[in-house]
Amino acid sequence: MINKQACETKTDEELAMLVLENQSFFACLIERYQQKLLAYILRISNFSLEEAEDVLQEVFIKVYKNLNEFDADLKFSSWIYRITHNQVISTHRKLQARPQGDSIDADEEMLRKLASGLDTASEISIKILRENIDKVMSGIDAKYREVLVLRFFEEKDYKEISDIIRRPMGTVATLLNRAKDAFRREMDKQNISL
Amino acid sequence: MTELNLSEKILDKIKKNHIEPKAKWRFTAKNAAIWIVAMAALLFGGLASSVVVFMLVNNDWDVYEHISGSLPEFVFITMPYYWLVFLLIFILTANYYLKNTKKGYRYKLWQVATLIIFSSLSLGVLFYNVGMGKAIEEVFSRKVPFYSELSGQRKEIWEKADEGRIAGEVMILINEGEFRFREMNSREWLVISGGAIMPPGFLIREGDIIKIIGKKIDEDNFEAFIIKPMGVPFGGMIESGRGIRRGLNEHPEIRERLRDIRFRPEMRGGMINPNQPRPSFERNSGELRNTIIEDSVVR
Repeated sequence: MINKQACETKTDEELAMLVLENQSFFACLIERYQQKLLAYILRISNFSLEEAEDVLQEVFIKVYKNLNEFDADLKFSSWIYRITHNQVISTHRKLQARPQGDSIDADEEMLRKLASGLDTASEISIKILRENIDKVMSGIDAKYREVLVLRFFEEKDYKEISDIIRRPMGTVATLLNRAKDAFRREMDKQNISL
Repeated sequence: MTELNLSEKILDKIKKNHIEPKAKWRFTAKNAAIWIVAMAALLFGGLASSVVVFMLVNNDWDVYEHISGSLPEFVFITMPYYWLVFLLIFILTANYYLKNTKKGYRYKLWQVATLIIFSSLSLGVLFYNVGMGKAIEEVFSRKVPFYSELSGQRKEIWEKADEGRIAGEVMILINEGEFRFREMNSREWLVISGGAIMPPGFLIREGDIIKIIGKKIDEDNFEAFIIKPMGVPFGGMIESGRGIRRGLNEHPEIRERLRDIRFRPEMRGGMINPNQPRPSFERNSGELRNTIIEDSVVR
């Protein structure tokens, strides 16, 4: 097993190259991304925790198998998020379930950021804010929920979102604007205020 | 969230199932294959474009008003729809594969589509200029089942003896103003061509493939008012059209008669004036030259 300190100073991209020489370095990448990706899977899908963990395992196996496909043109985090995004979609198709989004599971800063990004001033408690956001998110289209999650909860910039969902940056900007409109309309429809 | 010992689980699974990273050459080959298909689609799009260019250039623009009522109607009935559909399929295929290249997704649809359409059309003009458009059209006419039926409108326009339009081969020059003619559907005629209007510099020779606008006199005889070659070089169509219109302006009786044939079917049949003296012709080595022609450039 690799010493964790050996990994700490290495970038994701350097670790990805090292894994090809020594499999044990893969443990460092897994530990860096497991929590983030599990949260991301839960935010964009209606999987149970157990199902989400299975998807996460599949993601890492795919990452390992396709390491030779990764190149420096892309950030490693964008690449691994892209694989996760695709795996969630293909698992949904197999289970023939529509992505509904059950729990956003975000911290206070993220929730306030979303509220602010949607031009709503939020003074209510975090518990109620989280519940309200969950309700609204579950009512909007999956393609809008996805970009909102990537922007406000995963804190990705436009270029990273473009690389993850493989759409032009202009399209990402348009999707985000439409996603915000869809969110506000759903808020009105459900009579929720943030 | 549960505490995971995920890294150990995954590394165990990798070892147990002997999972290995796929070889780099497989990804290189996959990317190359995507580019090859995209380029092949562009190339085939260029070939389809070359046939469209060929068919549009050789589309009888110089005599359209004698074929249909208006230019838009003429365009509608003679558009090479078959090839435009092919072109569209190749453009869509190239677009799909280009968007699936490594960085293709970064470009907007209109940017990729513009590049593909521009490339296909440019290749089309290039291929047309080296004769590929004509060659492909001829091969398809001979070998592809139902091709003639699908592009039938354009052929049928020139198989309408009753409406005054025929196309085919000059078989024998009999004398000044008469020749034996065989249509594309093998029907034969004695064509009376004295006074016929022709594009500047055009000479009729035995073996020439020509198009004739005129009037069916009876089941064996046809009177020609306008005679033109089957194909016209790019740019020559404009000169041909001008020459034919000039000829019609100088002989308004022919223009009137053409109008009658199109709009008054009861006027079809019989010559304009069987007693009208024929213009003189020069006969030289199997050619007929109409003295109406202004430009005497020898072909």
